[in-house]
Amino acid sequence: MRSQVKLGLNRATGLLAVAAVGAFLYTFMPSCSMLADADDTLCFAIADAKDGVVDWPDEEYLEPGYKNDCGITDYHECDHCDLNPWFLSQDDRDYIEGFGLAQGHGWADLGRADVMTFNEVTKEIDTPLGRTYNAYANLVYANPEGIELDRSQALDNFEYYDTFLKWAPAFVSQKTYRINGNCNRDCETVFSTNCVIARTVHGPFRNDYIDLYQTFFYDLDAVWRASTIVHEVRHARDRNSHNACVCGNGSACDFRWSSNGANTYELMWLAAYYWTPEDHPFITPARRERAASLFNTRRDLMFCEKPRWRIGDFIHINEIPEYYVEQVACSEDPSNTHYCLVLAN
Amino acid sequence: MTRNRYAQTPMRAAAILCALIQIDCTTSEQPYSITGGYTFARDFEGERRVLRIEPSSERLATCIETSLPAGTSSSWKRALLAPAMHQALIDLLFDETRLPSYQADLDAVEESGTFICSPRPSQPDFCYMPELVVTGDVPKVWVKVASKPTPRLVRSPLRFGLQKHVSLSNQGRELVEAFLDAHHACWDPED
Repeated sequence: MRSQVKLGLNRATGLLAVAAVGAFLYTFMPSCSMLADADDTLCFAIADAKDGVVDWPDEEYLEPGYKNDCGITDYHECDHCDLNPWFLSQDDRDYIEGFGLAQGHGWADLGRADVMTFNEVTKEIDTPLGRTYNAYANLVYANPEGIELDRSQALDNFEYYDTFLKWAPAFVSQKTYRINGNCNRDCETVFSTNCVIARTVHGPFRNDYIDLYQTFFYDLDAVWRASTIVHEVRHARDRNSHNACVCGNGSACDFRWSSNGANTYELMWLAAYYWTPEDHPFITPARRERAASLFNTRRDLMFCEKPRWRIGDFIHINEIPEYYVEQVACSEDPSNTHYCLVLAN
Repeated sequence: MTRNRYAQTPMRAAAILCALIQIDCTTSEQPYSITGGYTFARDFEGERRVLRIEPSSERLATCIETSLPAGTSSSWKRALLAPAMHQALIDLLFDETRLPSYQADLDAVEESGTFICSPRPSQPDFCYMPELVVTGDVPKVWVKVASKPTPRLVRSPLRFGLQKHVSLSNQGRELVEAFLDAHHACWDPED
């Protein structure tokens, strides 16, 4: 009996010793996040603020090979302060805040106070929140009604939402609860450019939220940011997850177009944006071309069964919105009476 | 027994609380996407091979091989490509003198590439086109858009047809071969 107690005590002492050594080593270990990605430029810039002034990152990580269609290198058009109407109007800023930014977390550190800061040379908006506004600007102003749109109308009210681009901001608004800003870069390895842009968290008994990462703010142009939001929102309250199959987009693949998932929504928005009239007051040729490029590239990456049509097939998307939205978008349900055009796979 | 039952009550409460917390925290995270790098995806003879490489000096590659339709998730492999192999693939992609040939290959597959379809029970037919598609920050190419009179110069995937009736330039063939070598080195490095 005594020897058993002794043995037990020895084991406990041994375990305690191992735990103590582990704790000691752990104290001096570099953090896993440091090993995973030591390039959180934005986090460092915020931590290094001088007299409260942050030196915001201004380079896109896709540079120097970043010869983007949006004219970033030459004109910084997509994030140009003069070309985004919210920059001149408090009403517009309030409207954009209503997309879930107002109740978002993390924005105080990411420049809510100085959202209007811009690069004096390029006139490019500097702050993460400002660049997020520019993403929403594409959603808001692609629809000519802009902030006059009543986003609270029911999403199946196609008499009111008579174009896809009019419906899209209402969809984004009604399906978003909270948009958070996050200074981290979430990349595969140190210096990797394979980084997560945004992440949506949803589940029962909780409010969904979307986290936006450094890559969202500084590696993407504003058109791509906008389509990202449409994509993420489809994950949020609709709780539509990606499928477990193999495509060129890592873990963010959908089986096919008619899965009606986040990838389908993202591409539909890009197609509708592309097919706006050429004299559109907000969508310049550079923005339009950017949407086309994104559509062309991403349609080949995101689906395990590649869609057979191209952007030209969407020429009427802005005329018949109800054929393209929600459950009626290319449904395979035989009881669904909506015409599905050619987008059936 | 009675004492034990009372003693278990707080334990049960704690267990229920933990379960509820677990349910509340059961979230489904959706990594959205990846930004940089180049993706080569080849669909051929009922098989899909995908290789992702990083630009410039990063030699990290990820790859996967699966049968078509690629309905079930397989796991991706990671490997460091040999510097020469990685550089060769990048060089082939960005050699400006090769771009006209790549453009011709793209036009050929757009014009005469055909889908191979097979029926599936209670599902739409599965169709794929035998081709290699390269996406990422690739050089701009001229793309025809329906209803537009002239082609447009946009950043669009490069496509190389792998069917006998689709012409493929020597330059395109070299790129396909280099991709296959790199994919093999990533997928089966011991071989």
